[in-house]
Amino acid sequence: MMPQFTQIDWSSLFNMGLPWIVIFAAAAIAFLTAALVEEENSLFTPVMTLVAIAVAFALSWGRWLSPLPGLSFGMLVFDKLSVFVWLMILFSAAISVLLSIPYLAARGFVKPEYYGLLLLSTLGMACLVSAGDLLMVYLGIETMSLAVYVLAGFLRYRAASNEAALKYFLIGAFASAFLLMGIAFVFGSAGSTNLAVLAERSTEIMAGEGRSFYLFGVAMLLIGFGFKIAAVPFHAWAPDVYDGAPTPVTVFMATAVKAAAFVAFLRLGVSVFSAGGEVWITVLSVGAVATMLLGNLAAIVQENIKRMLAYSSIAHAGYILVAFPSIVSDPQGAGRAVLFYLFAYILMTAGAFAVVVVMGLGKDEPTGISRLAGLGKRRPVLAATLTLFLLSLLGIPPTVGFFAKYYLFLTAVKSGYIWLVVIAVINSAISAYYYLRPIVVMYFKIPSPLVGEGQGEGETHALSPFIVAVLAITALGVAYFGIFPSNLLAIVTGSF
Amino acid sequence: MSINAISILVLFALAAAVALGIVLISALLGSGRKSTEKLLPYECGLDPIGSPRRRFSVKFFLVAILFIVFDVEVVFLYPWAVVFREFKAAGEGALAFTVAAVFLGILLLGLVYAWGRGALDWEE
Repeated sequence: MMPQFTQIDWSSLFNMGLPWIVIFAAAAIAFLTAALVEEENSLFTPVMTLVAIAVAFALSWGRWLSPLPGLSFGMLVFDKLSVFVWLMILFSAAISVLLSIPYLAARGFVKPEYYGLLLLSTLGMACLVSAGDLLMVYLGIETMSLAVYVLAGFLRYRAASNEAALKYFLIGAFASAFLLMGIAFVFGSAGSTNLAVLAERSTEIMAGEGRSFYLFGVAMLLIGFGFKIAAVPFHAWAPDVYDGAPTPVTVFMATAVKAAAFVAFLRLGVSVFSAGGEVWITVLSVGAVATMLLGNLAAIVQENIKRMLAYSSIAHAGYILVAFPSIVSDPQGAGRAVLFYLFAYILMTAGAFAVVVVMGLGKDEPTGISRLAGLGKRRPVLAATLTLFLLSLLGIPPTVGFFAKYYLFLTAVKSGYIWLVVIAVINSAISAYYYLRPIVVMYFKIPSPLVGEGQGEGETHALSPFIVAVLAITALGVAYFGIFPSNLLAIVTGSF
Repeated sequence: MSINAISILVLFALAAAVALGIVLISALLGSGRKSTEKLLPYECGLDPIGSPRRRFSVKFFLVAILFIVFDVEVVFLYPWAVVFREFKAAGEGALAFTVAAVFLGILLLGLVYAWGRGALDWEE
């Protein structure tokens, strides 16, 4: 028996994987720096990381532009979708790195491992979004999550950071168990874990006697992914973890991790789940409604902007889920709407969190919303950018957030889920309360220094050029794609 | 269900029966009188000398974790060694060798990191 191993076209696999190798090499250098260099230059590792991300981005960008068809290696699939999402992930990773430089420097906690772990997590996401097999999905999720568990607890002198890491680890391990169980059941009923094979045979399996096992497996997979994307009722970890983790890591979790998990979910949805038909539609619609409602209602009562953004991220996961029932009738439309939304969401969330990083540049992290009082006078530009991001998260027209929501809801309406869209729109209206509140506080509230209002500690520092870069890129992105959404739509249409 | 599966089930049933049976028998036949000796943790006949719930040095955990990581990863070399001849016979020996070398290289990287960070340094 000759192993299949040798039938793989290794040179083209190497070509496709070159950006991954670049990222891995950079991670290796980061860890070696940590191990071997006594007094390292604090800027060496982050700059090296950024260069590696830029090289990987350029290589993948060339791949995305090339007209060649996608390649499948069984376990790994390199198509336009995976390359596009990988580009988004690299972008979010670069943003997290840029934010980390001043954040870690302000705490005197500069360690090269931080960037190495970030890169390894990015590598896991690469496997996840290119996965052509359930086992690869699992492997990708594990590699991605393990690194992020450590990153969440990176500020080891902070109790909240430790708590976040432990909570995230326990819940994540629990979710992985569900995923594995689901994979086992799907394999048991279908005889394969390959997504392409499953897509071909799932209708037949659903009609046969393996139906109940298959559905059970799919349900387990859904639960596993529910944890990863923080959908209700598997969301409870998100606010504590987002709040306790270092803010740049929170940015990474809210953007890259979420995008990678959602795209893998989308791929599974198209190939495996959609054969479930009615069951899938019911489960996903109920999940979407619950996630939106809980995220938005809980966000209203938050006093801490980091927690508020965490609940808002749950709510946004709910909005994205609105498009998922449409996968059954219109996979292409749903996929494009989800990609568009993820892209927009990365831009506006990263921007909003960048402002939170500025607030917390002192020793502790004063992230109460009341600390923002008077920011409009003290730092008009910073206040204006935060306003832009919040309005975009809310979905006000000339921003990219509006069009992202518009395409999502449009897909759902086209597939006939009008009631779902009505609930989603009502939820958007609810979200206006908590998105507008920081804006009101920034511009109209007079800070009373007695109770520590106004003057986040970091505000006494000059804005770091790295943060300025992040704010500029994200604000420009939100505004540009808000005014010319067709450009982004064209990119997304070319990817799915 | 094959005959093998049934024999495993029988084994499970027997094990459960023995375990439950012993507990049940001692509960039924025992007098229920408590004494100091009976309530002591069983220590092969010796008197316990202290509580086992003491704090360990974190170094033990570090060594245990390092051991697990390297041990489990090295286990992957066994299947590789088993199929290596087949690859060699098919003229793909270089490929199989490269793959294992890359794998070991990554392991080595981990070792260098652990070493450089002082994880192997017990005295410090």
